[in-house]
Amino acid sequence: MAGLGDTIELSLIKQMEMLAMSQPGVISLAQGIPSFDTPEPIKRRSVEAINEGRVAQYSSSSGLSDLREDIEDELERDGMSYDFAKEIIVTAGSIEAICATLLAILDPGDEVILPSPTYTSYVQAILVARGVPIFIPLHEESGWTLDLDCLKNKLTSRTRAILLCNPNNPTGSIFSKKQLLAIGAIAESYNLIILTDEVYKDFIYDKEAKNNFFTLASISALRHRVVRIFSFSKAYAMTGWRIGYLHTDRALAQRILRVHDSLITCAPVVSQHAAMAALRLKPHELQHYIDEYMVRRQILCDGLNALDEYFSHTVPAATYFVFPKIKIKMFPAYNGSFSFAKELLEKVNLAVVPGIAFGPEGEHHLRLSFGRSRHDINEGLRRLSVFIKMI
Amino acid sequence: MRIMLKKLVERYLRFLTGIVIYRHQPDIIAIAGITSKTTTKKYIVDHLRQIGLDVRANPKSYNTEIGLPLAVLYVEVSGYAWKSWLKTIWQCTTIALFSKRFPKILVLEFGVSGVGDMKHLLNIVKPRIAVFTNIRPSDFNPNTTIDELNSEMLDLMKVILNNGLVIYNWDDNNLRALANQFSGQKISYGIGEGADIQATNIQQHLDGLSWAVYGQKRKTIKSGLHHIYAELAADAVARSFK
Repeated sequence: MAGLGDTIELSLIKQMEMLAMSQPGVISLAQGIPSFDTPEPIKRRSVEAINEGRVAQYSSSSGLSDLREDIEDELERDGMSYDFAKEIIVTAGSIEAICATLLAILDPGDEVILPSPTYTSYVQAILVARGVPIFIPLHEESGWTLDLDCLKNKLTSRTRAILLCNPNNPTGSIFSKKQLLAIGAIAESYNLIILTDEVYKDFIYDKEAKNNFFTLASISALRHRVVRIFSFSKAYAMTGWRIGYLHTDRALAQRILRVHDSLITCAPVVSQHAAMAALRLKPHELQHYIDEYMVRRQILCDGLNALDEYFSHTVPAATYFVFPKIKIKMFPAYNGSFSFAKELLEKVNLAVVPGIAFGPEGEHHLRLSFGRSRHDINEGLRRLSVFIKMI
Repeated sequence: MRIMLKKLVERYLRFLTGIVIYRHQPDIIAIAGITSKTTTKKYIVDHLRQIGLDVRANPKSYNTEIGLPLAVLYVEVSGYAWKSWLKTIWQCTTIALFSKRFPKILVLEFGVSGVGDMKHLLNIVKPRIAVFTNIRPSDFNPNTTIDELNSEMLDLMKVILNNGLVIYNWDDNNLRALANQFSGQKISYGIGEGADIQATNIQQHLDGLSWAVYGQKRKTIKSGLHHIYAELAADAVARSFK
């Protein structure tokens, strides 16, 4: 029997990043990381914690109790009630939270429903847990909504979970409350666990959409089957700190905790102190990041509008990605989004992520990040135009 | 230089805090313990406001030697550059010397990280009521032992005067032992047999918890026993003002 290392491939995002890194002068709109440095108060608090000798030892597996209390407060402000002592686990980013959860709930061969397109590394996480990813399409024409009939049709006796990214990477779309409640009802009927990865919840640009953002973790009747996941990586420009958390009902949390403890013992303690500082930032200390992302989104969308003969796109309601569709008839030699992205890299030194990386429905799209600087976005758009002229 | 400046700011803020407390004589409630201080604080503030009292609490991060004076003076740091600090110090001075309105009761978290922290905080303010949540090993302060934490909490008990009150968690063995050493007025709360204010018939529901106290049924949509403890502690505080 082959080990996982022989069967799991690096995600296409990582493959593109590695190709881009091997080439000089590349502009990357591929990376899903903010261009900003971690805010000063977070760095200062972390240095203090180091100097005060607070970070050299393990924390409890579920994380520093002070941090979990802060998380409980944060959740309460968002209309959720979870017990810091038994229902919140601090993790090494969201992907560890997802892996630990899947390992805790799946038997080999169990199936996990994934919308397509969605975040590429979910597939690898499911495979690590010896599960089987089952894609269900999101419909682009209706704003990347979920096909609920298709979801029901794909359910089998092996289906154990549904994994959602909300807001969704790469489409920048948000699942409506109505859709989520329907998914919740299906999960209830078929005894499924829902993993909801809400790492981009703080990147919702429209005020009304932000106010209407809904999570199934706020429904008491579903708390025993919903695992909500959050990461500090994006909202606080902390991708390298590897820190996040999950919360769910205590029985399920304790099952996940045992796996989490086996995997990493505890999240990095210095990063836990950083996370505490992050949660104590005032909203106005983060607003300028959102304002800047809105400007960058505008620059990127304006640039794509100018190329609308070749690409069509919708303005993302959330995240920091635009997911334009390639008008393939305009590219006579077009041979799939992966080849297209490779050609962009080879010919004009522009790295983007091919849509196929996000599932079958992502094909014929590209993911462009406006997490990068204005300079990189403008230069990326210029290189895209140059590429088009080369056809 | 930076450390000297910090010390200078600490001393000046402590001085201003002394002035504002002398001028307005608020009743001060300290909340100490390892976990659940913020939750307990929220419940206490809610209970006191429900009985019509003029009460204010410190935000979570305000429980340090600089933070506590800022909490008492109710000034928020607007930034970390020296200009922002000058502005903050100016605001604190104005409030300390000229403020006309000030809350009758202050509810303050007394966060203790290491040996001597409690004494520093008590140099700034002296509470009349102290509420203790728990004493347990803390991974936030990995170098501080239980004995040291007990000693810090005892420092707080010692300053509670004859007209003061100690409210403590009966189910915490460390606190129960400390309370035995305290001869003043005290009230215990908890779910264990023997607590002065005892929660009974605790039940977990899909949408929260229910329990009974003084024969009356209570309910919360919150998850976690610490909410019951916080409610009991708040009950004890509110009764002491009736």
